[in-house]
Amino acid sequence: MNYRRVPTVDELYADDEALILTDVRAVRVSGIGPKLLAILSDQWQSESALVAGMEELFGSPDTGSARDHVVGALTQLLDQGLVESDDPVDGIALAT
Amino acid sequence: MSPDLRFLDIEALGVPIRLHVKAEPDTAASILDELRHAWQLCTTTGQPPTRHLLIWLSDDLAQDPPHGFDGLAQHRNLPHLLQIATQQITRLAILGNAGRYLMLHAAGLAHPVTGDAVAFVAAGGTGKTTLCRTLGPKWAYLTDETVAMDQSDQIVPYPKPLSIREPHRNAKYETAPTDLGLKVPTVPARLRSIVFLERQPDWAGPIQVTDLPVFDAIVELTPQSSSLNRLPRPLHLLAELHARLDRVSKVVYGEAATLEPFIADLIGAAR
Repeated sequence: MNYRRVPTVDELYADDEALILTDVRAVRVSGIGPKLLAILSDQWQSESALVAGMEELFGSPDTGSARDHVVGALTQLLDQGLVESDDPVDGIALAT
Repeated sequence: MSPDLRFLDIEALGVPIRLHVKAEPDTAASILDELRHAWQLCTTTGQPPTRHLLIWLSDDLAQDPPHGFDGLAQHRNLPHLLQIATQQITRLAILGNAGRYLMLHAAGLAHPVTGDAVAFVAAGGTGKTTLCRTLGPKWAYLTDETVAMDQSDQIVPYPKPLSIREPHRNAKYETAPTDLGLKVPTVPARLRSIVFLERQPDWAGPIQVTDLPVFDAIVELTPQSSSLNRLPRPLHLLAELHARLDRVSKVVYGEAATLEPFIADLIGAAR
């Protein structure tokens, strides 16, 4: 599955948290979410590429697999409306 | 006799608005008198009107403003008509300032001598007007609806009439601030603190004050702001505002009168 960021109005980063302003509300992002947002862009990226990018920039997690951490964070970002996937069921948009 | 059309010019948040009243001639004159009294603290500075609101006492309900008008207030019942007119005036004022001012859904009181001001942020119907009515006479009245401020935190007063429900009467009445003992400050008002109101009618103990960290404050402020997305880098703007202010707090309370010592701590006792 591929993922990309949706456009935002403004973003604020502090410590391990981020605040993202969309057209409708301010959304708080914590955990590895802010780091993942830094890697995501408006271009589609595969889950594998995102896992590799996170490991390259931030190393492996202390516990669990990097993939599990990234998938969990992506699911949360999808729920928060900050990311879309090309999954026709769970995602917002279809890849073109 | 055909309906008469008369007008009154006011300024709401600096936006010059012409209120056009449409009704039978005698009624139109009395509506205009009521508007003139209720909006006496929002008088025009002589700018030509840039917005036109039609206030129409009528049984027939139109869907959209007629050509040439930016807004329509229409009702068959006069108190309701005036209340809708206030809502429409606020809407036009906010539209006219989108991208210019930071606008919060808040009441505002200021110290009459220093101009130090506090914004009481709350959703509609949750205590702003009651707070202004109860404690406003002790300080200076800025607004019970929209606190608008420029980049130096100077507040543009919007001393609109207050919608007051009188005992044993169903409708709310648009009441001139001066009828409630409210006065506008004679010095520029500058925002010093933001307080999020959380009124709990059954709250019997002392007020409970919690200071809000910057992210918490922004998350609370965002839904209570107008046209925030039109300002440049709005989250950064709010974070910088949070850093400049003396306090950003949430207060849980039961009765507005119990907030008096807290407000005195924020902007100083006035009288």
